[in-house]
Amino acid sequence: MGKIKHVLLVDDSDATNFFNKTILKKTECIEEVLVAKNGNEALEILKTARQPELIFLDINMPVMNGWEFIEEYQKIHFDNPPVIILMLGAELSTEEKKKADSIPEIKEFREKMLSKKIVCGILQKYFKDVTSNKCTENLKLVV
Amino acid sequence: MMFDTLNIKNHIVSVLVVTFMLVFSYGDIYAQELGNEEVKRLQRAIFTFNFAQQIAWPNAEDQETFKIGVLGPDRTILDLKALALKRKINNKPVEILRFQSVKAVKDIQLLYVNQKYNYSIDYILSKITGKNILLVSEDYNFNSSMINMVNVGDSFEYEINVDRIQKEGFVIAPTLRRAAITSSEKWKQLYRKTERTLQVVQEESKEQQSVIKHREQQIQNQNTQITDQLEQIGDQRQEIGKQNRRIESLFTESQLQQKKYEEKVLIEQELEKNIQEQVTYIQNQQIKIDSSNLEIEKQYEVLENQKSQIENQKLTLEKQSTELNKQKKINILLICLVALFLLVSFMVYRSYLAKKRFNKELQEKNLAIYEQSLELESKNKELEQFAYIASHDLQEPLNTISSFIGLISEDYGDSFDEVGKESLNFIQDASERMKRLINALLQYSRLGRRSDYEKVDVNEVFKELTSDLKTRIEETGASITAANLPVVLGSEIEIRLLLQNLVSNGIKFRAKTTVPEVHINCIKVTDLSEENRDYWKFSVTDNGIGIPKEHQDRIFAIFQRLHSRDEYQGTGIGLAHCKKIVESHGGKIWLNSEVGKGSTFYFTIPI
Repeated sequence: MGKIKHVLLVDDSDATNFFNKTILKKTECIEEVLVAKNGNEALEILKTARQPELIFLDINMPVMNGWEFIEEYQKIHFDNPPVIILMLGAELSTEEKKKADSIPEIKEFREKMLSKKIVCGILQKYFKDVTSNKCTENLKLVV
Repeated sequence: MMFDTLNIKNHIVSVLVVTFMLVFSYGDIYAQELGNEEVKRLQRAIFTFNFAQQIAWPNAEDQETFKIGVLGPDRTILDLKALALKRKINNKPVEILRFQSVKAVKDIQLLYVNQKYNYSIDYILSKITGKNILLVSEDYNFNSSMINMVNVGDSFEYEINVDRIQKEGFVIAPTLRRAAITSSEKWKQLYRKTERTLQVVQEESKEQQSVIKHREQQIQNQNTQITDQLEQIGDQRQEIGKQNRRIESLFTESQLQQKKYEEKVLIEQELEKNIQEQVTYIQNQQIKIDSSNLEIEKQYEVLENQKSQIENQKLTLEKQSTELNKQKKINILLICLVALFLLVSFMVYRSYLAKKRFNKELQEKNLAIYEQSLELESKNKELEQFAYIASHDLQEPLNTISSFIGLISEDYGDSFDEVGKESLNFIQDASERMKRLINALLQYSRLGRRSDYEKVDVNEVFKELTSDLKTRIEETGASITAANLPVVLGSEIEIRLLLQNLVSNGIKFRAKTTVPEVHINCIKVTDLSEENRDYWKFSVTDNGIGIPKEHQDRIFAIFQRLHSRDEYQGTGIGLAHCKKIVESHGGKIWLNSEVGKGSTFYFTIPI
């Protein structure tokens, strides 16, 4: 039973980070949840050895926003590029949507507040070797 | 006889001298200044005086003065008066009188009358006869006159009616009778005759002397014989002496007369010279007159030429004047036209100005309206922006709240008591509702922003819509039908939302026992009030609860609800969405409704 080593939450809201961290931990298949309060901090983390496999990226942030972060991120070479989930406070505008579609690293758009269901869905979609009892429980429940 | 002749001769000579003196002196002084008339007037006076001198009046010695009368307003009286100052007649001073009427004539010796004053000579003669008055007339008939002066050229001739004069008792000097003209030749002849007579007389006297001497010798021889004869001889001697004295005096007189004659000849020569000069002067003048006549003729010709030229010019002038008249008329017409044109253009200009002003005002108003609309638009946008940002920013904390409540109820819900659990449910409901409201608001603020309208097949939209509402339709058993749906120009999303709202309202607001029936229809209409613009007029008819008249106005306002949430769920923003969508497409939305029977919502979309 594999686990995701690092997941990075990039959001300026402590409440959101706290909530999402709680939800992620509830899946019990993530070793460490890293938190950055803006793009800059996220880049700092990327420079360390703790390379995240999954990034939940907020757009509206002080210092360096999501788009700027992605610009910088694209300059870095990764052996295994992480999955980026764009976290949305509200619906994207058409322009933003186009911009997001043009970036291949952005795999999905999700509402800011995660739920166990969403997380399990993502894990099952992008991390096949990762399995979680909690998720299967949920699946069973849903089914 | 001899005495008389001598006397007369004496008179004649003196008259001649005076006449010539006068003629000479006057002629000399006035010849050039006075015209012929002046000379003639003088001559007339002189003639009159001469006549008086050469006629013997029977009662001549009785008068102290010699009186001359002039009949009528004749100017001759002036000339006579002037002459009277210088000359006497028969050694008597001369008095000149004027008579206006023939009757008044009396106490005069000579009467002068000119024919030009129209006195009847016969009447005059009848009046003066027997009064010892000599009538000197001018230009009258010879037969009925005494002495008549006749104008001959620049001078006078005179006629003497001897019979008549003698009848009146006048004695006429033979010289007067003989000389019709006072020509110098005649005077010369007269003189020569007198001289011959003198010679005869002298010879006679010599003969008589010889007779006397002879008789003296006889007397001396007969001294004693005749003493009586002595007295006679003495008388005869005396007489002879007297005669001798007379002859001597006559001789001296003739010598004097010869001297006078010579003087007179000299005077005459000078006079002739003078006349000659005057003749040459006159000739010169004649030449001058001729030349000036020529000149005048030339000038006349020139004048004629000029006249003809003037005639020609007159003709051309007339032509020109007619032309001018024509042109005048044309000009007047033109002026009228121009004036009319000016008037019209002035009117046009005025109306143009008014129009311009009006246009300007209109433009200003339009500009103001445009500015206002711009302002309104920007305010609207601002408002929409505000709504968007507000709802967007509200959403985040709300999400956080509802997420944490979800977390709490999931992880710790079991450890809450009933009140806690209930409270948690209410909070969750409220946050969910708030989330929906915020989303609706967000959606509302986004509506009408798009302008990239495309052709939308409403049939397709209807199909999608029925499939979207499938669950609701199946739940309620509603029948949703549509007919005559067109292809319109607009935003597909918005039109779908519009129809979806109206249809779901139709399903939602129904009596519990009723099976909902919603029918959509569409017809093409022309709005006459708005430039005949064509519209698609949609109608969505349901058999729902209906809307009371008093509420029909406010149902399109945002967040307006007519019913409690318990009865009919919803945010209360659906019809506000509909209104905004229809109006942003340029159409209108309204409804017909009857409570308990159902409602029909109409909206139009411009074609």
